Amino acid sequence: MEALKISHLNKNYGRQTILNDINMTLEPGKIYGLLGRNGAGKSTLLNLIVNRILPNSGTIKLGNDDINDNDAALTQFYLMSEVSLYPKHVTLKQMWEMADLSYGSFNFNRARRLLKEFDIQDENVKLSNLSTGLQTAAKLIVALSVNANYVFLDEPILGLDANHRDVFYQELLKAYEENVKTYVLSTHLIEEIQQLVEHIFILDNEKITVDADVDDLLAEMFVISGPAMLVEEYVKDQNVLGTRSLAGIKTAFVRGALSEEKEIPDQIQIKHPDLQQAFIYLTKK
Amino acid sequence: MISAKQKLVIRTDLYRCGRDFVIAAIWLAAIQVFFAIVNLIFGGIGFGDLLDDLRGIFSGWTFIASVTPFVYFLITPYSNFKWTIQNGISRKTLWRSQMISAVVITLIQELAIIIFNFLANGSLSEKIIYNNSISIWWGLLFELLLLFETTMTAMAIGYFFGLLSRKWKLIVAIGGPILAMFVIYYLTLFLSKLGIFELIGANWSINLTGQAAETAIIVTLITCVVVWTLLMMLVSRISAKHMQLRRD
Repeated sequence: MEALKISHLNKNYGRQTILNDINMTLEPGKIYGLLGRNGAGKSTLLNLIVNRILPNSGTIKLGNDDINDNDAALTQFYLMSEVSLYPKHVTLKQMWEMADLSYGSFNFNRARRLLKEFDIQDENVKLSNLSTGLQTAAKLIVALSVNANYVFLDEPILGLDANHRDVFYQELLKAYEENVKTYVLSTHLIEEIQQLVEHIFILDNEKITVDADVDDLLAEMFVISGPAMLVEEYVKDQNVLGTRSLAGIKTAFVRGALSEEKEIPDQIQIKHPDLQQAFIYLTKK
Repeated sequence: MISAKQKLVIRTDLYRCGRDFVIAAIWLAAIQVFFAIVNLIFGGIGFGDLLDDLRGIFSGWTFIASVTPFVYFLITPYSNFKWTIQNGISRKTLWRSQMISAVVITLIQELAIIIFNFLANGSLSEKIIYNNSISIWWGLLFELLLLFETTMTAMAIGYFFGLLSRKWKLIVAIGGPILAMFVIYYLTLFLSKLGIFELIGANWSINLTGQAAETAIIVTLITCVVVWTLLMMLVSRISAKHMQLRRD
């Protein structure tokens, strides 16, 4: 399995710049999170990677090969997205057969098992006849059973209830254990994927602003809370991303190593944020 | 060597185009049967006339067989692009597969037209070229070429329109023919003012009734059809290369 390398990628729609000089590398066998606020360009980036849309400039390479119009490369990618590109009256079974013919070795057994897990009665049901949540589930079944080395999941839990979301997370890990692939999850439910993803990319202001392992990112971020005056004094020379005050208690979000010379007052509490908190302050306007 | 991906596209094209033909044929037959029965009951026609009416179904089917591939390749390039790219099939493979589909469909189409024509009129084919020096087989080959040209034209328009947003599709669909008419009108006017037509008329010395002239006309026709077909293939290939998921 080869790495996927994106270099100097730009995408505009008319005069509107969506992505500007995107550079990133996806290594084989990792689970990534692609995060960004609404309209940040996450779906555009994923569509560019799988060649659904074409960039204005820049390259996307799998190993040394450009992915554009390259069947060998495209066979290694599968993008499950909110928008359905399948024919109008397609049945789930037909979706599986298409994936089997295109990618080869579709895991029909897993697909049939997942059908039951997601409470879908029949593989001959039409995709368009399912509810929003079950349509997502049907597309997830293909994504988790397809023989592609890079699986991109754009809003994979859209409309799924808590039980089905849990099924998805469990099955994703199971599929990953059975056959190590690269998964890229793009979602707004950051709290739920924190335990799954190893590395995250944050898209903000047309660029990748964070490209880091989750543990490393959270290790360099701190939530400092306590009496307002003490907190203000303590974070004075730090890289403060944002603050929040409630009933005289101030909370500051700091990125970067804390000064070792400064003594930490007893009333001040310091901890690491969770991924969602980190995301909010890293992308705050 | 045809890859699994190409087979998938070709199989889908054949299935959908065939299905569209069958649906249209059943509808047309049902309508014609209905009117034939109405005519029998209220029109007071005889049983022989009823059979003639029913034989008209085959003429209808000849027409449907002639237009189905054109309509299919006109309206499906973008939807085909969507499901193929979803399944990791490149634009190049899609286009190449559709070329193979077009060839196969045209052959089936020609065969269907011959059969329906025979059932409707008792003759193998309508004479396209009224020339006794050309055998029926050459006539059929020319008909085949014309059908393929029509399919390629539909494909070129379909792929080109696949590049446009809904707004631009409407603009081009309405504005294009109007613009073309204006261009042809003013070009004719311009050539007329230059005296080109008078010049051609004065020097027109070919005997159109002679064997050589007939052959020349046929060669010219075939050349035009081949050149146009190649041009349409080029348009569809270039359009396919730039096709991408639209935001509308």
